[in-house]
Order: sequence, then C-alpha cells, then structure tokens
Amino acid sequence: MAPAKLPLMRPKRGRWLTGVCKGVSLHLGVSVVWVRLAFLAAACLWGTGVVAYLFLWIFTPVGDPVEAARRQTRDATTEAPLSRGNAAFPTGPAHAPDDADTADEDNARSPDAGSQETVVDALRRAPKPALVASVGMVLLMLAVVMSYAHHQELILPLLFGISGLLVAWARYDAREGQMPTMVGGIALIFLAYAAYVINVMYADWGSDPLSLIAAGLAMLIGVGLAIVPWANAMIRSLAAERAMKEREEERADMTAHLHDGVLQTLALIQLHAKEPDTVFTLARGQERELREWLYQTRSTSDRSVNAGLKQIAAAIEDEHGKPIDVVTVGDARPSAQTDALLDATRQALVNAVTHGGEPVSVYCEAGETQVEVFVRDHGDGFDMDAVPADRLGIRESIIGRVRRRGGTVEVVSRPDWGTEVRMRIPITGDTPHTAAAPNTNAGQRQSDPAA
Amino acid sequence: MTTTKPEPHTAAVPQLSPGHADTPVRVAVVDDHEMFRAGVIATLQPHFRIVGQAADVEGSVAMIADTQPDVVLLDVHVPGGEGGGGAEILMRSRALAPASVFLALSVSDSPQDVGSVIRAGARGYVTKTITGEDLISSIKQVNEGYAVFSPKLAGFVLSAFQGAPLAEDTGAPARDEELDRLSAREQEVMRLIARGYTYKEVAAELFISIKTVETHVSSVLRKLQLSNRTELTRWAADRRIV
Repeated sequence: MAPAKLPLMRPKRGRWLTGVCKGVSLHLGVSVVWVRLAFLAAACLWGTGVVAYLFLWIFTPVGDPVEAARRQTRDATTEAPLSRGNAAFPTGPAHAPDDADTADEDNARSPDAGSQETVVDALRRAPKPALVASVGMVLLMLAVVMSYAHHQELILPLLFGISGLLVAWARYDAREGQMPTMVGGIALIFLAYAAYVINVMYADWGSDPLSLIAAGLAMLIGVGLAIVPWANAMIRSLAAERAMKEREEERADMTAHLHDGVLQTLALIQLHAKEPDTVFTLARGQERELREWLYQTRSTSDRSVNAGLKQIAAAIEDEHGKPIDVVTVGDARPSAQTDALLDATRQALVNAVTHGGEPVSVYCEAGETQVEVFVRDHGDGFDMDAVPADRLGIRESIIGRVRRRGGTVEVVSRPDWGTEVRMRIPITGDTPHTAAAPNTNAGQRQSDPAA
Repeated sequence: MTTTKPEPHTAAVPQLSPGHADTPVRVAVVDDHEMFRAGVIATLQPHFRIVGQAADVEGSVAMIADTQPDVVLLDVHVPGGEGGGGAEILMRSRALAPASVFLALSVSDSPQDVGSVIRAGARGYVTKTITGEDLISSIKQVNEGYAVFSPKLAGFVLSAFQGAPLAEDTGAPARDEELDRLSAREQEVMRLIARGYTYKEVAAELFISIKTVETHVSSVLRKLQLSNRTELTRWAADRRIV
C-alpha cells in the first residue's frame, strides 16, 4: 500500500525527456499535462522554467516512486539488525535486483542502482521525437535571441561555451572519467573566452572594458559549472568510502566479540564435554552475555537498580550453575535504600538456588515511590518459624537489612509450592513523602535513568 | 520452498475444528534453523500431529495455507519475503488460514521483536530456552484459545502500560482510552506471571479459576494488539526493558 505522498523521483516509464515533469506530477498528485504546461510557461519567463528543469533533472534521483514508497514503508519495520534471521544481510544496494528493479537491467548493472543516470543514458532513454522537438526549441530560442541582439561576435563564443558545458556535463554521474571531460569542457570554455576577446580586439580595442570584464565573469561561472560534475563525483566517492569504513569497523567489532566470547566458550565446551555442570555454566553465561550484547542498548549504568539486579543474578547463576529468570519493569536511581534492597536480593537469590528448586525467578518493579523485588523458587518450601534463632541468613541479611531502610519483607513458603521473598522499599528521592500520590507520571520520571 | 510434510497421510484426515477434544492438535513449525526445527519436532511428535514445517516466509505462507494447522509455532526471524520475518508470515497467512493460531517462538527477547509479532496477532510469545514441557502446555493453551505469557512478556506488558492510569472497572471511559489501560485485576495477573508464577499458581493466589486467569491474560493480549498508543513498542524499547 502506497502512502499518500510519493517521493520525488524521475520514473523511467512515461517520460518525455528526462522524466522531471512526470516525477513532479506523481509527487504532487497533479496531472502531468499541467506540469508540462507550467514548465513551458515558466520557460518563456526569461528561461526560468529551463533553469528549474535543469536543476530538477540534476538533483532528482531516477527510480520508480511507487516502488520506492513501498520499499520505504517496508524498511521501517525491518531495520532491526536481526530482523532477517539467518538471511544474508544486504551489503550495499547490490540486492536491489532481487526485489525491486529486476526489470531494469540498467539499474542491476550499476552499483548505485535506482539513484543516478548519466546524461547519455538519459538521452538514450528519452523518446526520440521529444529529443528532436527540444533541440528544435533550443535552436529556435537561440535564433530569437540572436535576432534581437545585434551581437554577431557573440555567436562563436556562445557556441563554444555551451558545447564546453555540455561536454563537462556529458558524463555527469558516470562511474569514472569525470576528470578528462571536465578538462575538455574547461578548455572549450577558455576557447570561447579567447574567441570573444579576439573578436572584440579586432572590432574596436579598449572601447568597452566592461564587456571584457563581463566576459571574464561569464567564463568563471562557466568553469565553475563545469567543475560541478567532477566535484559531485568526488563527494560521492568520499561518502561511499566512509560508509564502507564504518561497515568494516562494525564487522571487525562483531568478529572480535564473537572470537573473544562465543568461539572461546564453544571451544571450552568441547573440552569439557564430559562434565555437564561445566558445560551448562559456560553455555548459560555465554548465552546471557550474547543476549545482552545483541538485544540491549549498551552502557547501562553500573549500579542502577536494573543493572545491579542483572549483575547479581548473573554472578549467582555462574557460582551455583542454576538458571535465574530476571524480569525488570522500570528503573530507579541508586541510593542507600536500593543498595540495601539489592544486597538483600542477593541473599534471597543465594537461598533460592541453594535450598529451593527450579525455576528460580526474580522480578523487580521500580515505580515512582517504591521499588519491589520478588524472589521466587519452586522448591519444597520451609517453615519460617522452625528456622533456628542462630541462623542469620534470612533474619539479618534479608529482613533486617530492608527493615532498617524503611522497607518491608514478607517471606511466603508453602510445601509443594516453593518460597517467595517479597521485598518493598520506598525511595526517598526528590519527592520524599508522596506515597499517596497517584502513580500517573511514572513514565516521565523514568525517562532519565541514572546515567 | 522447503515445505515438507513428515506425515503424508494427514491429507486423508478430515478437517476438524480446532480445539476438538480428542483429536490431536495439528501443529506446524516455522523455523529457518534446521537443527532446531528437528529438535522441536522430535519434542512435540508424541503429543501433537506435526502437519508441516517450513524455513522461509514464502514457504511458510504456502505451507500454512496448504495444511491449515491448528497451531503454528512461529520463529520471529525468518528469511525471505519482504524481510518482515514472523510478523510478515502472520499477516499474510491470517487470511489464508483463518482458523490457525500462532505462537511465537524466538531466541530474541528484544522489545521490537516481541512487539512486532504480538501486534501482528500472535497469541503468545515464548523464548527458545523454554523447556519441552512448557512448550507443550503453551501449545495446548493457545489451541484452546487463550494467550500464553512468559514472565518476560508479562514484564514487557507491564513496562509498556506503566504510567497509564488503571482502568476503572465500574466507570465507562471512552472505548479507545480503555484499550490503553489495564484493569487492576489484569495488572495483578500480569505481575504474578512476571514474578514467575504459573497460571495455576496465579489462580490459587487470587482465588479465581484458571479459566478466569486465562481470560484476563487474553484480554491483556488483545489490549496490547489493539492499543492505539502507537508508541507502545517504541516506548518500551527506549527504556531498555524486557
């Protein structure tokens, strides 16, 4: 489904000359006839239309706007790096032939498919009657101009100058070879200037220095215009180079990571194939690390509640070789309260993996006014009252720690159900006593997690 | 392309409505990772009738239209088509196989991936580290018409709806607004699932039946799919959750 507005592009079909009018009409949703008439009318206003046409020709890329719009909407959903699964990742626009422009051998051939075409290509593609007509019109305009202006001496320089520009622009956007054409064009423009100067010199020398200066200016402008295609090619190749370099760097980064992490771990796993515990720990740790690397934005803060919780869970997972499911909602800045909560969580998790049964999960929800952590295991459960008074694991490390900071702890344990430690702690941030306030703008407050 | 049917005789089996009590559930597996596909099929074989498998978008759409499975186990990252992966398969096959339900199964737990398939209409989302037992019960559950939430997915939902006011069960707010909120009960259910409770445990904890839990979960899923907060997924992604 195409969006309401198509991008400005010059389509290959339905064009008369270079497709500018057709492209504009598609972009604006106006009939192409009106666009063409408008350009013609503007052309009669001191050539404004012609200049506008040339500019649009140069700066509008070639391609099918409908197709481009379709591809754009599609790209929006698939730009995630992993959204292609094991499919080959497009390395540059070389994949264009397989979906969009198969019909167009010109595009399939040039690496920059769908964006540029040389003047020669454009001329070849334009319908011949339109070409003849436009050449005729240009000649007509020249004739009209000449007949009004009685400057016979201008004819030769003008011809030279125009052909110089044409030569310089003839290979606009060609892959290479801008340099020689540019030199040729500039030479022709010099020739034009020389012809004019010689003409004037023979007619009446020095009578009008202004005209010489004007001619010099015209030559400078001509040279400037002649340089444009070459400069354009330079800029384009620079940009391509930079993009290539970035891709290379990313690739190197990824290779390094895979080497340091995944490959080493796989090698270790092969060595320890007979020891299931080691294999499990290695695989689990590597999976966690890779997951973090692939799916999370990097550089989470060191001790924000979320990051801290994940670190703790990971460490305990590695020490005890049991998996822990971590789910977090929201985040909070670190403070004395949250640190106490995290320390208590560590103890609760250690208890869960040593005494409880799998699966072990920890859930943390950070709201505006309080942080809650729940540690759950599916073991046999135990009787809280039956725990001897000298065992401090739960009483001190969990309950005491959190209570001292103003939080509450609840330990629920049932046979055949497991155990859950529920910890809540208020956050005394910039709003110390607003526990009663409705929890309406948690989103905004969370927008700057501790950096 | 690689649509193969491990059990050719299924063609003779008459089409039965999904959820029929004593016929085995007909399951199709979509995954581009051949080893994983084989493993999943081996796990599911004793419990379900595997009617098809495919490895890319076109093949999957054709296979689903062809076999009309009750449940499609759908990988999120599948090559081919327009690069839309599992979500694209879902969109394209819903018209061709209206009776099939989809359970997304992915190694990824990024919010974008979860969001894209859920919003495209998947009935649940489980990650590939799931145990075989859990996978089997998840398939049964989606086949019965209920949603399946892993703790991770419940966390994602809570994050996405965090900050939205609770819907008042008695009041009658505008229809659209209602979709943007979770009722207090729904939020409770979600939170328990995120805490690692099974559906049965959630039901026992809240003194309601499992069916009621499943109804709540399904209505949360519907809200997630229909919610007019277009930035829902982006919002969650920006805050690095799930």
